[in-house]
Amino acid sequence: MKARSGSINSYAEQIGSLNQQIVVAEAATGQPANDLLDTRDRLVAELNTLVKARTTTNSDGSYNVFIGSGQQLVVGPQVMRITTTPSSADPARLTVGLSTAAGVQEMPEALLRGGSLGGLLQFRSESLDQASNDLGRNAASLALTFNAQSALGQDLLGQSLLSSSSSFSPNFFSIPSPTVIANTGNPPSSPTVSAAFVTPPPFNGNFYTDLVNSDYRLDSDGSSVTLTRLSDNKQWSGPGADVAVINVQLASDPQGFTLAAGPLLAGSSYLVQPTRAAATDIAVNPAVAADPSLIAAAGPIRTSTGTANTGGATISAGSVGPGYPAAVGGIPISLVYQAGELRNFPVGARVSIDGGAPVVIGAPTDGVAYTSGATLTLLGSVASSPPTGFSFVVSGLPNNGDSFVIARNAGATADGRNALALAQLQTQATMSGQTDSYQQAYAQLVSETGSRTRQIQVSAEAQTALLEQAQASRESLSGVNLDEEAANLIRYQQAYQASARALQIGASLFDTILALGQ
Amino acid sequence: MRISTSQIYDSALQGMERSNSQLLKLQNQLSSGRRMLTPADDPVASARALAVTQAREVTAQYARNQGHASDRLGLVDSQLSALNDSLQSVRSRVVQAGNTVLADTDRQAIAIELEARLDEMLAIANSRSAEGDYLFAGFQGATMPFARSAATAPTGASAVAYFGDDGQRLLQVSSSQQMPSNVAGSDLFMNIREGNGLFSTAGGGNGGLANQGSGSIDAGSVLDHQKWQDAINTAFPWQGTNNRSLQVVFSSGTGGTTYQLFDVSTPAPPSAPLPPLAVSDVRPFSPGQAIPLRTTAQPPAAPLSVDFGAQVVISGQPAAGDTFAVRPSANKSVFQTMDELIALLRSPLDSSTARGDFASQLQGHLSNLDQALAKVSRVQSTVGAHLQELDSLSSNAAALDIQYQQTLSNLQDLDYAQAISNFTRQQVGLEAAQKSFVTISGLSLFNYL
Repeated sequence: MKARSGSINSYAEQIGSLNQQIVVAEAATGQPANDLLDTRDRLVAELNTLVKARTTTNSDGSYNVFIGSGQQLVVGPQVMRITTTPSSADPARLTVGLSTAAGVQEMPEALLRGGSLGGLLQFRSESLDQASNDLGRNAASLALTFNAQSALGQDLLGQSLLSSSSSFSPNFFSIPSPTVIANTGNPPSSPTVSAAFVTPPPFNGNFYTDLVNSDYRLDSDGSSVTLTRLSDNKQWSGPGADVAVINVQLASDPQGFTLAAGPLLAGSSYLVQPTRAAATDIAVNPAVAADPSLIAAAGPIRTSTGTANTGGATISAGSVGPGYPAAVGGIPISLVYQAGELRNFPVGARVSIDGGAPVVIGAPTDGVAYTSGATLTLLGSVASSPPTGFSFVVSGLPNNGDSFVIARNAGATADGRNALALAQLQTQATMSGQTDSYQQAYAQLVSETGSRTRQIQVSAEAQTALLEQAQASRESLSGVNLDEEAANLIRYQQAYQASARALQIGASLFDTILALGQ
Repeated sequence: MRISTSQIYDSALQGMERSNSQLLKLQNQLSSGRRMLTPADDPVASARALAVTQAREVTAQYARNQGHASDRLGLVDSQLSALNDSLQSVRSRVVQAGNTVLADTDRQAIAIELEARLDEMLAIANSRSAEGDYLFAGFQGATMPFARSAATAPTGASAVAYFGDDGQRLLQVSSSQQMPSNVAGSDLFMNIREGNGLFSTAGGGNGGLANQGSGSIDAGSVLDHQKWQDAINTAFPWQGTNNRSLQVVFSSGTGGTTYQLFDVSTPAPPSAPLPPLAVSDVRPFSPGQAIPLRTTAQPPAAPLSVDFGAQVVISGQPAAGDTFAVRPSANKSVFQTMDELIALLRSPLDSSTARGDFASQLQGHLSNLDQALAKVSRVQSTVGAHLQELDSLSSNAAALDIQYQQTLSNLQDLDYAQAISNFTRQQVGLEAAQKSFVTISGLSLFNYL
């Protein structure tokens, strides 16, 4: 972009100086300065290969050159410079601006079409940005879901979320938070806005994210705040200057992140890039990388049937969901079967049968009706749908007094249940609001990039054909055909020879006549 | 149309360039063997190829897991076979020990052999995999699962305790199936139901002493599982919640020996234990007779007639006051059975009472051993079924792999015949263009000047 804007400036200067020379030359001779005009036309044509430019002719024969939506590049002999400048919305990237007396004035990228500069900008905004956002979306989703599942496990040292004080590392990957860039034109002392991924991500059988591959813009006009998704201009808006109203809306229409900021000032604008940096900066948590025994491969809870049981019922190994530490507060829990009920749940716990409305346990003697094979879920205090916590199944024929123990999984060095759950993420629907797997989302990116490339190849072929047609037409009018020239040459040569012959004949006639007079 | 000379050169050049780029692409396709060089060549197929590649890799991983599971289960299976052999040999020795012509020294010799067998079983129970983790420890692969706990005063006996858990080490062997690659020691060695699996029988003693008669009770048989289950839990009005069991009490009446059933359940502590409660009428007894476990109403204390769906056989001649207990089976580890057997065989038989008791106890242990053997064969058949399943899964995985390869090949591999034919066509085209260009460019009127 820098090289191209340099070339554009140099063309503009040449056109400007030619404008001056043409005016001077034509004023001096009163004749069109054809050579200079040709050179200027050639320069304008070459300028057009860099950026689409339009010209108008002044009464004195000089050209005005405009780019974009009418920004003056050359007016008669005067030349404006275009320059690359850090974008005010995102200082990390260059954009094109017009140098004016008041400073650099940014040009909207959407208006700079055509030519190789327009192509570069278009490639950046339509392909590169989306591809890097999409890669970032994959990386962020992988990290968020993996971390959340990892947090439900237990490492080789027996540490889990149930450990009171420990060096348990729930995060397997580290990823950067969503980037929020304050516009450089914001009013002074504007508050800092930050964004955070929704952690843990939503859970419905498995973890998934709602991230999309777009950037967002947060605007405040003093009386309302608006979040705009830049890919399709969908807006979330609310009164006041607080982003909390936006967060409320994002809770029901999740985009995978939330915002945090002080009261926004009128006229301020922020660019939110949820996933742009995620693919670049994703890394394995250094603590886990340094000590593989911190990988949470085991399940945190194990179950067993009482050794003194006389009935034939068994309890399944069980599975944990988000919020399980609160659900199994009274661990170890020893459930007792008595008179068709399972009793001895911790007081205050809530138990859901097959995902139904939870039963609140008020006293240890409060029972939950026993159905062989039903899924019981111990719930924490947070209501969630579907119910998550610790789920297990008791099946078979128990006798009164049979016990079923739910305990921490101490010393479980050969347990790989959480590792299995982590591995299953690979094929589960973990992205785009639980519709795509990682692979499907990536395949979409590849297929989109492929189609776009194909589309561009096809239009390039069509444009080339058009160019060839145009050149052919021009050549057929103004081009040189050597055979034609040769033929003309011969024709003129013959005419010349004929004229010379006539002259020779005339000369000999004169000679003869003059000789007659001697 | 008028053609300029430079147009001839330009357009010929463009044509040749196009041919060149086509040839380059074909050459790349030929050398890589792939139809798609970039996703732009076929966006849909390249996305599908990614999905198929993942599916194929995942299947390959499942195949590796299947191999791993198969190795582990093979190891478990061989240990189970050894355990089975050991138990079989113990069983034949115990049957031999029941022979009444054996002297105390003979029984002691058998006890010594059983001790060796017990050590052998402990070694099997504590066996490790090639990676060094204990096979039968559940999740706790680094913990030695079976060890003798500290001796309990005052007897000095110490039982083998289990320090592992019930965990199943699962491996993902296909997209929808996780297979355990271990057997928990608690299931295999510890949780073995005594007696006939549902209830166990034993001599109950006579007034603080052992039974005085020669009567011995068999393991009993279950006629209706559901009736037993109902009677134990709900149908029968037990006088207490704990220790729900029945007692057969003998007495000598006018017409000979009679028996009566008693409810000996006790309320939960700290309530005081209750005395046995008669729950059937007094019935006459003849040796070897099947005694149905059916109560009859004894108002007002036991108002219901309840069928337990089971019966026991008592042979020999019980003395008045002899009792036999029938209680729901509890778990008894194979090690405890062995310990008790060894202690039984070491104690001398110096009276007919002791002999009757010995026979009764030996019968009980024998049925416990049978339970252990049944457990081992059940686990062995489960492991065998898993191994068989792994075989079929593995051939399925191989078939899937071929299928995925085929799909991938269809998606991205080059049709060589077509590509070579295209290549040749392009080549001919380029050569023609080159030759004709040379010819045309040589055509000039100036040549004739």
